[in-house]
Amino acid sequence: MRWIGVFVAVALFAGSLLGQEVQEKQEQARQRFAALHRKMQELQVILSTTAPEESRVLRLGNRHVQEARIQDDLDGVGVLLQAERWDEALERMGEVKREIEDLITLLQNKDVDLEKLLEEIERLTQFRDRVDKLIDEQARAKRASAEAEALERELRELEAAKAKVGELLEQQTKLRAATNDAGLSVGEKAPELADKQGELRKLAEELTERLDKLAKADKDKEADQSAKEGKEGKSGEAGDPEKGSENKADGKADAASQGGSCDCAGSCQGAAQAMAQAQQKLQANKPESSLEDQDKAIAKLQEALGDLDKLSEEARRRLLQIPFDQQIKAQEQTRVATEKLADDMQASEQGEQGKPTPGKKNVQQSVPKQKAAAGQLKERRPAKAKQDQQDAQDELEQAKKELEDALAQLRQEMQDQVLRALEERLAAMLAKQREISALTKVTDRLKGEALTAADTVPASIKERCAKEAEGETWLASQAHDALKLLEEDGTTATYPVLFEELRTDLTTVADRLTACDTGATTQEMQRQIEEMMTMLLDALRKQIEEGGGH
Amino acid sequence: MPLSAELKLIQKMQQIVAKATKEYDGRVPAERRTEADAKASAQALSRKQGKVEDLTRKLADKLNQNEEARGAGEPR
Repeated sequence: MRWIGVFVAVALFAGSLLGQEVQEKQEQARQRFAALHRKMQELQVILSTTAPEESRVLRLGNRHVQEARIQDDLDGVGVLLQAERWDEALERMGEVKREIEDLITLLQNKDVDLEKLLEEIERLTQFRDRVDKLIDEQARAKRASAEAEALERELRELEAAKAKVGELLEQQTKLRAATNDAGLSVGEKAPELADKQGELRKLAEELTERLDKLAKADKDKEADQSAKEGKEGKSGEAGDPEKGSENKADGKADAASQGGSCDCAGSCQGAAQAMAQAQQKLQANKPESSLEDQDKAIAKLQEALGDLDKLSEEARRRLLQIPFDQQIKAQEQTRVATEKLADDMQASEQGEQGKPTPGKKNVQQSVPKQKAAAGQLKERRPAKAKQDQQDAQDELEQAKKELEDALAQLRQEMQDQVLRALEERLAAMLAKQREISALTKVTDRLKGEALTAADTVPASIKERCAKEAEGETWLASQAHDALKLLEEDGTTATYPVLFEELRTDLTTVADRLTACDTGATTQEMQRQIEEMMTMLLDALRKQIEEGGGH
Repeated sequence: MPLSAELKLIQKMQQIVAKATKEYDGRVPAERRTEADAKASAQALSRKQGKVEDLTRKLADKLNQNEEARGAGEPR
């Protein structure tokens, strides 16, 4: 990479030089590039067995050099300069610069990979967030259907209870008539009537139990609703299919204030108690006296029937109030958004060499289920709609899981790559620092010798210092790039602080060398930099060996 | 990065700072420590020591948080 950097710098500056000097510089650039290409070709072969990945990158680079005809373009620039065709030469140089920039990108394969990984993480995170939102919407739609279903069931149960109470009332009325008809001469018929009364009492008790259960279920539902409303606050969205259930809750409160199903059970229990009294009196052969209790039982049953009627009417009213149109609309909106997501997932695969987006299949599969749910809602069949909505939600949950699994894998991959890229960068930095440190020692000695002979630092020493300072500045920029990598990784706070420290030290040493200060302090600083780089390199290598700390 | 690895890294950094401080002590005689060059070295050392302190404090906070989270997760 250093060769390329030098080459680019030379190629860029060539345009500003004139005549012979320009041609010489161009020739140098051409020769350096030819040497670089040769080295790349040799390395590609050498590394093919020991480091196949690096060899692959070099092969790509070498192919690019050939396909872009960089060498020919460099020759062409030389010819144009010789002919003093400056404008054309500059244009050609621009082309060469672009080609070499592409080559650098190709050779810095790791960073490209990292960028791709980051892009992929970003892409999947966006899809995951959209799936998450759809799950919320779908769950809300399902809850609304579940509430409508529960109301339908409640109405059915109330109707069934009403029929039972009606039946019991009819039988009790008949028994009363039979008892009345028998009058004082009931005689032998008394045990038969008592048995019948006993049967009716038993039925009344069973009915009481059933109505009690109905009342209890109703109370539990109300408590759940209040808890949910308390949790969600009053931030109901426009078009929220659950809004209907809020109206329903109000309706429920009205029904309770008008006398809930608890009263029905109480009336039924009263009827059962009166029946028990009547039974006892019939057993004691006191038919006249039992009539009074039977009348009481009839009145209580009529009371229960009246209450059940009211409750049933109330449930029917609430069922009619359910905003099915709103629920259908919300379900349709969720379906459209799901379809759009599936399309976007499909479209985004084009840049991923046709690799399927995780969870896409599930997202696609949830669409027909959402469509079916909307259809069921149109037919006022909330129970069936709820099942389809559950199926759609399950598909979306699965899609989310697949996306999250893929994201976890990518993040792991990202971290591994960051560590490897850092390790490579740091190893190169350490080698370069050692080289500069050695040069600084020599420069310091030469400076000492020169100063013994004269009072001023000679230009050749100053030039050496400037070159060494340039090297340290380059290292500081490398440390800065490493910091950027660590920011992307974001899993540790220690590395960034230490790399920042390294950058500060490198900048300080660069400043000292710029001032041609090559003395003991500068050299000690360089030693400390090497030590810190070695420490970081060891830690990184250990972490890589241990699988990135996972 | 595991906390143990972070701790080792901080420990190594502290060793580097300690070694550099000893080196400074040996290299720069007391009478020359007011000179600009010696001051620059001492300031760099001080800055490094500050960073080590900061990192250690942050790591301790992280350890405390982990311990609290573990404590909260345990059944009473």
